[in-house]
Amino acid sequence: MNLKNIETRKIISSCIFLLSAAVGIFGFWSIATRFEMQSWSFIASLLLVAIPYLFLGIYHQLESETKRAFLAVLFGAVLSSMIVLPIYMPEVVDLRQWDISATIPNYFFYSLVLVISGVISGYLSFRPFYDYTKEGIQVGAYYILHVTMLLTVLALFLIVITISLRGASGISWEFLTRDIVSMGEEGGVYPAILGTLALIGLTAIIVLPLGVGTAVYLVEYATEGPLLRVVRTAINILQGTPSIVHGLFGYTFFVIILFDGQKSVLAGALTLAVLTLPIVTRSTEESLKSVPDEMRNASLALGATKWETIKEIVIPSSLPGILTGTVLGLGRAAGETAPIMMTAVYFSGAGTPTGLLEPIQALPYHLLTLYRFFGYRNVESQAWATALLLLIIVLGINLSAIIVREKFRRRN
Amino acid sequence: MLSKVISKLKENKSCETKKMPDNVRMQIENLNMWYGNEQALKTIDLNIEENKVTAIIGPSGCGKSSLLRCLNRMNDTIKSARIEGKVWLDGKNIYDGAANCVDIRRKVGMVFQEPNPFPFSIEDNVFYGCDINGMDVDKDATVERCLKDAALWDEVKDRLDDNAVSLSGGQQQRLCIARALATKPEVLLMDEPASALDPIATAKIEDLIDELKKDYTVVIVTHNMQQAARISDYTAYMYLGKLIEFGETEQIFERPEKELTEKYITGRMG
Amino acid sequence: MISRDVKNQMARYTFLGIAIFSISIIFLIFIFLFNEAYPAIESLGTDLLSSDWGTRRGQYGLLAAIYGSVLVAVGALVVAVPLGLGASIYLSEIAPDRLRAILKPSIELLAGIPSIVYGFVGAVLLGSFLYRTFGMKSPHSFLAAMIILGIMALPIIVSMSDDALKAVPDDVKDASLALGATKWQTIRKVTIPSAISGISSAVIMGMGRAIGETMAVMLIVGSVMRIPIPFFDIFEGGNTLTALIAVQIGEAHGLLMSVLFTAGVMLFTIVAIMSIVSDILQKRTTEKFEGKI
Ligand SMILES: Nc1ncnc2c1ncn2[C@@H]1O[C@H](COP(=O)(O)OP(=O)(O)O)[C@@H](O)[C@H]1O
Ligand SMILES: [Mg+2]
Repeated sequence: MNLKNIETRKIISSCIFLLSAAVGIFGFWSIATRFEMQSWSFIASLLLVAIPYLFLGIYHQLESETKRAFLAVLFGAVLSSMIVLPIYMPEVVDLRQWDISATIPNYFFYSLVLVISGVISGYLSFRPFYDYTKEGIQVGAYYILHVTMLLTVLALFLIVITISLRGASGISWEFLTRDIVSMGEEGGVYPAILGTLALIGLTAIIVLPLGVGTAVYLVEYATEGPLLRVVRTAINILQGTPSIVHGLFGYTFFVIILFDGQKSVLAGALTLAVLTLPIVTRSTEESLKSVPDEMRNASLALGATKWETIKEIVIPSSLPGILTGTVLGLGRAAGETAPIMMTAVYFSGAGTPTGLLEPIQALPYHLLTLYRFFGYRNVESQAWATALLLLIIVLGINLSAIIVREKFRRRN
Repeated sequence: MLSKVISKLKENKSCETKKMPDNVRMQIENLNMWYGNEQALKTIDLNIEENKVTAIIGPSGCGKSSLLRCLNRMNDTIKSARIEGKVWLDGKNIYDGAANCVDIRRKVGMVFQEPNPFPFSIEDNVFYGCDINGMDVDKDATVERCLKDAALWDEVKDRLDDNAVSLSGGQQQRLCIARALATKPEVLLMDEPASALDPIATAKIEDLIDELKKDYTVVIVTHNMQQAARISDYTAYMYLGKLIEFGETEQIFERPEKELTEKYITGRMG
Repeated sequence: MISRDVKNQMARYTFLGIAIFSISIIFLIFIFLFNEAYPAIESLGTDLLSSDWGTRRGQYGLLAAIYGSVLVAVGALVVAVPLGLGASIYLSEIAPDRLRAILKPSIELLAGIPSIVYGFVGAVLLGSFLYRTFGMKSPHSFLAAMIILGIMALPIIVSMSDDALKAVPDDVKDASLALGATKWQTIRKVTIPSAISGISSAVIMGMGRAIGETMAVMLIVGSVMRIPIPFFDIFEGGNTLTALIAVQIGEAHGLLMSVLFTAGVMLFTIVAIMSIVSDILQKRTTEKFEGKI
């Protein structure tokens, strides 16, 4: 075999890489499925783990890198002997003897060795191909980065896909348009949809003038100084404040003090407005600031008053930004449970909302209620469908905001 | 990615070589370059002489920087850029499939228009090239040598640990020169190195270039004709992507052969 | 007809009024929280920091919940930081433009998945998977919460570190390439060190998200007011400040309510410190390059 031939080298490297990938993926798969070991699978995985390193060793040797060849084979031998370890282990390793409340099944170690072995031989597979230069290291590093990206995307999309698969069958016209019947076991989620829409709508009506007005004042009128800095910091902190704290505030301030202990859609919307106020204010500020001063000056120079300039020039040209921020804030509000749990929703009985001071049902809270009935009532398919519906609504709202933003970005 | 590497390694053993004339460090042969569909360089032929300063002048946008970036394959980092032709260094074509552009960039140093120090210590800035290229040299000695060569040593010798960003613009640019010298490049490319500096800092850089040509081959891009006349041995005049005239600096500025060149140096062209 | 000048003045005062109103609400929240928390702090003092919790007995030690919050957040970072940093480096430095144009918005979009949905999936699927795999006492565990919170923190960490890495000017990267560095060497030795404060800011924000998370944690971690023994036993369940508030608020009044407000103030203080530090760090990335010329 002529290793100076680049095609040959490419084939060897790719083969080792593919083998390694197979080993790693098999390892992951065996963790996920809680793989039952059998004698054939042991022998197969023993080979599977050993072969890439054996190949790597031969490869190095042919390239006259004796030391590397030796190391590769040695490493492969150690890893593949670890594959055998679980046979000599008890079926489960009992950590309870050290007070840790878990037992690790022996196949778990086996799977772990597979994953680690696959990643490492994959990392090494292209080194000889690149003549052991720093480009080879780069390829290895890029490979690891690809894996992290893949895992990130996988983790996030897996959640979306799982919900879609399990929830899709439960979504029907009935589900969307019927009342909640017998604790959600039957019927639909119509009142919850309406309740969520009412909450978002009211929140928008309350927060939009407040948030945009505040931002306009801060950017267009207020003079920079220590006071403004304090205000900005306060807004920042409020934005990072956990939503349960908003719930706590909303419950005591709006429900107990303002509405005499009565939960209502208005109290919920007020709480959500407090929650989204910093988001709307900050994003409006950002987009107002991005309007160049020349435009303001040009308008003022034409004899327009400050108010006319703001109304005719500044707000229209920052509208996409304001819109994006507001809609993202509302998307967040639509999915929140903690702040409305104590302010707006009832566990059962709430029908379609009739007045501002009536409690309602909302999708996030309905999902929580259904989860609480798991194992007691037959609510599973309804719960997954509710989760999917909530996901669609929230991601739909966010998607529209992101589309507006990207369009606007491209235009500039 | 993989296919690129493969094509690079494919011609590994059949690397093209040629005998270059004496005293010529780099030879540009029939070089064309495009950004997308826009042709930025049109059939350039040029010889860069050893231990001489070669200046490239011409109006803004004529392709000076593009040409310079062809000499160390920095244009590879621009996705839309496409190059045809050959550039010879040490008898090897740097655009040969087998050529290793990382290696080329070590041999051909570059100083950019705006000073661009790394945001870490002065010492680490200078030593960076040696570090990443795994050169087995003494750090302190290298730093001292390069900073002295770049006429910066006296100003910073007591604060080598300071962040390079805290230096003045002129000092930063000399630091960038020092940084480029650390890997002992054969050729030093400079793209309007003084355009962002005040007159005093500019004068220092010009003196420095004069010193540097004892040990290095320098190619400098400038839109300042006085500067080219002051410091260069050879001058190339470019216009709209073409090399209009090339010759000894004195000849170019006193007896230009081409009308276009004369128009430019006498300021009769916008 | 109102004259233009009057309109101008009216607009000014309207905006001033709105701004004063919103800002006073913001400060009202702060004051209100501290005010409601005060009775508990006054009457319980350092007992609030003990590990003894029993509402019937009048014991309100929050230590278990504080410990749980910190444990879960740190665990979430162990999951999220390696993945998130790798992904953000991939996204900002390696990904082809087209892939990046799809991936970045998708990840930002997924940042919006509601926490109740994460909690639901985590409790139903992950909790029971770990329960069966590791033979734990119950499906509620810190481990499951760490994994789910780690995934929840991923989008924010990826997106913010990507911004930080993108903020490193190209000419500095070019300088490194021109010295003969490979792209990976440039990333490792120039881009990442230059963006390090922005990256830390991303990590802090991710941690803030994990500490403040309520619904997901409440469903996954259980609500046992107990520090696991030994303290690193992440296979046990426990409680966090957020879950504690969410679970107790329904029946709370009097002193317990005030204790919950104290928990709220603690959360809020932790997150406030984090967001201030994060903000400062974020500004530093850009300032690092502003000393130029
Ligand atoms: N990255 C790039 N992408 C596309 N076009 C470019 C790029 N860089 C330069 N150009 C174009 O190539 C031409 C030559 O540019 P340049 O070499 O920078 O000129 P000079 O340095 O002489 O001012 C110009 O028309 C410029 O617009
Ligand atoms: Mg230029």
